[in-house]
Amino acid sequence: MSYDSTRISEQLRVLEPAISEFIVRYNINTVLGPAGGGPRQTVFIFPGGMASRLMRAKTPYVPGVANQIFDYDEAWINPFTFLGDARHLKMTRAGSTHSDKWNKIIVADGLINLFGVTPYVLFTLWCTLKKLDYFVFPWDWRRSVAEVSDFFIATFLPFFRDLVKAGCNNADPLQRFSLIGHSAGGMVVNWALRSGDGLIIAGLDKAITVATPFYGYGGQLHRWFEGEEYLNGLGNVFRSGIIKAICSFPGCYAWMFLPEATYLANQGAFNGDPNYPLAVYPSVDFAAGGHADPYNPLTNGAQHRYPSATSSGFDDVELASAKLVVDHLSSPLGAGQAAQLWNIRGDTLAGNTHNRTRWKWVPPTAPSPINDVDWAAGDGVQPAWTARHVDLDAVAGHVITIKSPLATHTTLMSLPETIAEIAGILGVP
Amino acid sequence: MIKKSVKAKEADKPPLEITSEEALAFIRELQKKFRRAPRTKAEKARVQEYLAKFTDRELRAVGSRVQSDLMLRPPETIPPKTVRKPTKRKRRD
Repeated sequence: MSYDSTRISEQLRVLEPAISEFIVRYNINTVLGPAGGGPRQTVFIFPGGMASRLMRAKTPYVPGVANQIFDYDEAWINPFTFLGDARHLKMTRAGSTHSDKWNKIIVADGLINLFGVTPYVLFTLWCTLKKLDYFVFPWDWRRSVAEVSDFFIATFLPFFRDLVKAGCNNADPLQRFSLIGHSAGGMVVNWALRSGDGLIIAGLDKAITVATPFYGYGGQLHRWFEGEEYLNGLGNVFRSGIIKAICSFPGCYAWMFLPEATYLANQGAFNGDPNYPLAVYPSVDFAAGGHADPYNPLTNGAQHRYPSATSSGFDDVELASAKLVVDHLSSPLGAGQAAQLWNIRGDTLAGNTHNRTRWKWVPPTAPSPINDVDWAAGDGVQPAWTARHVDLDAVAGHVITIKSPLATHTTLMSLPETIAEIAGILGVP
Repeated sequence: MIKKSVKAKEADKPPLEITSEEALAFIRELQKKFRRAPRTKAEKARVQEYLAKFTDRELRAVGSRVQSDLMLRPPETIPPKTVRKPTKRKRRD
């Protein structure tokens, strides 16, 4: 078995206990009766980027050995992450596949718990109280949403269905199911919605994104040059390693502002949002003010847009692959897809979300060439204009804005207003 | 009347909210105390002992703030600030 097939096999094995817990909940709900007595539905919850816990195998993968299984240590996130461990999440690309540092397989398992804080606790509690058959699908946020979503549909769902049918008197958990994704988790949902796998996805009822960027956001550009403040260490001792790790994550390349062509093709719709218009392209050159397309980085003599591959590991191949992903995720929705998709976005009413970016040519890469220009309405991380697909303007009620000082990016999923909207969409009384 | 334990009293308190600056100062102090990730069980235990000097409420406040901030753009303008030194908690057996 190859590294990748072993990793996938291990990912499924690691998720088995969570599936067993789902089976227990499912059987309890069978006795208690589903919420409101209506038809049952399974709800898959996709955590946001960085919200899934990552686990690293204690021993390396050995090429050529069949059926390897491993014990795991927590790799993301715990106190040691801040002491240089985050650098070791670095991946290595070989063609179109990616392996982990030291050849120690990394899988996603559950939600993060940092200093006793776990996201989505209130939301999953609500699911339990409402007797919803929910499953939190942890995913490796370092990887491309396309890869994660394809794994979910083609590999995980059949595996999940077989186990649940075996444990639940042959009941099919995919007869009717919905997907809810928070932040980057909504990008996985968006990809899944567009999946061509008709058989397994036939039971898909609703797809809901919460605080999900459809057209990128301003945070990622900083990371290529600045790393992550919390992880950079004292005196930035780890920063170079953190930047190299971030530049090795294919998933991060799809988090940047939208390609210029996408903006131009939808300019009217962006500017036409009555409350949250995007009047101009959000990424511009620092000096000249022209468009600076993250997915079409031009050069200016000897200067360019991104840090060099040798200093940072920035990978033009990943950038080109990510462009295909973001193009697909922002492409027009079919009528059926639009009818199944809901976007929930937050507005903190404080106009406190970074909106546009000015970008200097590099070198030099320090100080950071990225400058945030202004602020917009949003959830503090995602501007409101990016958190809805423009095609949903034509579907009444499918873009929902939660306006509250508490509608921040990380708390949006737990707000009673958001939960009430999700209940309405899912038909939960 | 039964006296509430320290932990129970703490659980009654509302969640502590701290700023990004305070969370970063906490992490910087941790990084100052431990210059590299622990490699042995004993080293890991020393990190845990250090963290045990803070209350659960304080740690949760840091955890909550850091989780929020990780999705933000890197807060590069945050000025360094002195975090409070961990105070020894009285052991109550």
